[in-house]
Amino acid sequence: MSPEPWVVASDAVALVGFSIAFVAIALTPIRRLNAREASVVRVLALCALGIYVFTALSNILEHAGVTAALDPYEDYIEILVFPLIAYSLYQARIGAEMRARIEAEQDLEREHGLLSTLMRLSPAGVMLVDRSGRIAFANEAAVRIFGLRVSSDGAHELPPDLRCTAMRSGEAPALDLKRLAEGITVSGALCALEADGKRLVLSVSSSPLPDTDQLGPEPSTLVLVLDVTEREMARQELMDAQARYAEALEHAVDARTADLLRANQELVEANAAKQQLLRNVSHELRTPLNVVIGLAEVLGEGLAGGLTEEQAKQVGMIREAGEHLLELVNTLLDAQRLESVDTVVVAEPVDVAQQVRTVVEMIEPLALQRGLELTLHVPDRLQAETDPRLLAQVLRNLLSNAVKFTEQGGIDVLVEDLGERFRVVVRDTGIGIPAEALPRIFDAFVQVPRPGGIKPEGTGLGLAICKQIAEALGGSIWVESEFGRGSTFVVELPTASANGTGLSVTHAQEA
Amino acid sequence: MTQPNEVVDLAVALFLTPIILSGARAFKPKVRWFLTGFLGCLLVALMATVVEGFVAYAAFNALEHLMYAAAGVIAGAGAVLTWRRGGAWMP
Repeated sequence: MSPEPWVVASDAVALVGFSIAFVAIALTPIRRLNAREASVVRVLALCALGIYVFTALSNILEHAGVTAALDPYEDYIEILVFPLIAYSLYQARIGAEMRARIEAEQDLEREHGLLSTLMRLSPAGVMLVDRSGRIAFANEAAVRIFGLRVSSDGAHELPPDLRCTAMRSGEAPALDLKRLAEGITVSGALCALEADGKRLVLSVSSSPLPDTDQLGPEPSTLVLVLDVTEREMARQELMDAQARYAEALEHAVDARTADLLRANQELVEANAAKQQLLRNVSHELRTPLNVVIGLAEVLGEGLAGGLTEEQAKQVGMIREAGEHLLELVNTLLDAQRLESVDTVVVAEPVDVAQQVRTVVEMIEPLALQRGLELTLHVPDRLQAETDPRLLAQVLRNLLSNAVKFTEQGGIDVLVEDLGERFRVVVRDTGIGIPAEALPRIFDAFVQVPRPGGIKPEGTGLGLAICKQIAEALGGSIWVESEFGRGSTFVVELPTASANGTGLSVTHAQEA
Repeated sequence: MTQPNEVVDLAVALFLTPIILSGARAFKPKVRWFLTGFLGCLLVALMATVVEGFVAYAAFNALEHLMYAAAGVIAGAGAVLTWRRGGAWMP
């Protein structure tokens, strides 16, 4: 037989490959099998590979033309290769499965041990109630809490006279074995138990166990019972303490309220007395002041005889001081009136246009005296039902302020008929109001200093009185101003008199 | 000329290969691929051994020896890889 080089080469590759595999398998640890199984698997695999090493060697010798003596043996042993491989792999798989099963059993035993210890040490009572209502299992805590007895069939029994009354109204008894046998789910139901002459409060939870073949044909209900007597007693004591504290607090609040009411009453009385005194004093002051001013005018006009220049000057000073004092007294009366809220609106038909003209004419000399131009834009007639005295007072205050705070330029007075309402606008080119002072401008005693920080004359009550009156008349007042550019005050009032305002309204014919 | 033991070899291999491969489902995918390749090469080699006795001796003989060489390479590579991974052949 002539040598066949490429066949020899192929067989040489096979020989090397199978030899490497042989050595590698011999060295490779076989995991997840015990030593005996691993040895069996290894030997079987090595046998299969060894047969192919032998076959490859035999083929090399044969095809290289050296000898064919090994060929008959090769034919016989080659038949063993596939069975050896099959058995080796089968053995490996069986060994691995056995190992997994053993590990699973060990895990199960560990878990069982853990659960058993938990059951034994647990302060909570644990019971298993089967479908027939028997207590198939109870731990030591459950036996102790309920005083369970073991029956002839090995199950536990509740004492026949044991009752666990639900503590929340409307709740079913938590320890009803019939209901538990049906697999009900209960979460923390409270029940009161009388046992061995003492009263226990129990928290009962239950849940059916999963219905699986592994747990047997009759699934059970797991019942957990916790003795919460101390917790419930503490809660009850806390609630009692809270109730006592609330009661004491209520008494204290009542007593304090009575004190405050008494103090408030005393303050109201003191305030009323103060106002009465103020009213009396103001009225008493006005009468002699009017006499002083009147007589000063008589003297000043020379009706009581001629005066020297110096005397006339001093009489004029007396009159001016008297008028200033009278203005202060009037302001005091206004302030007192504002405080006591006893302004009474006397509504009557008024020609608002005429009323505005009258007030403007009254203020016009003052404006001219300061070199200001006073312009009036009014309709010929604007009929409304309102209090002319209060309307005039608002206009007087606004115009007086406009004259007082305007150094140059002029003052515009505008009256608009809006149908059910009318609007009086007083616009000046005065010093204006800083933006930060605008929100408080209608508050009592608020005065915006002039440029240079000079405090203006007056009491700071004028605009507060205007606002009070505007609201009393059922209307409103607001201002738009830019510091240094002037101010615009707007009074908007209803054309018809409004009942139900903050102050009382009396119609003129009723008054 | 085909020998009887070669036919028996092939029959045994054909019978056991599906059984081996179905049992190999417990192994890692890579191990399964090496095993399938190895057994496949051996099966082809055994078939070629039988067929060469009837037709085209030279071609099938060459195929037989090439398949043995391929099976050797696959067996060597698979065994070395398993050895290098510390014998992790099961998931």
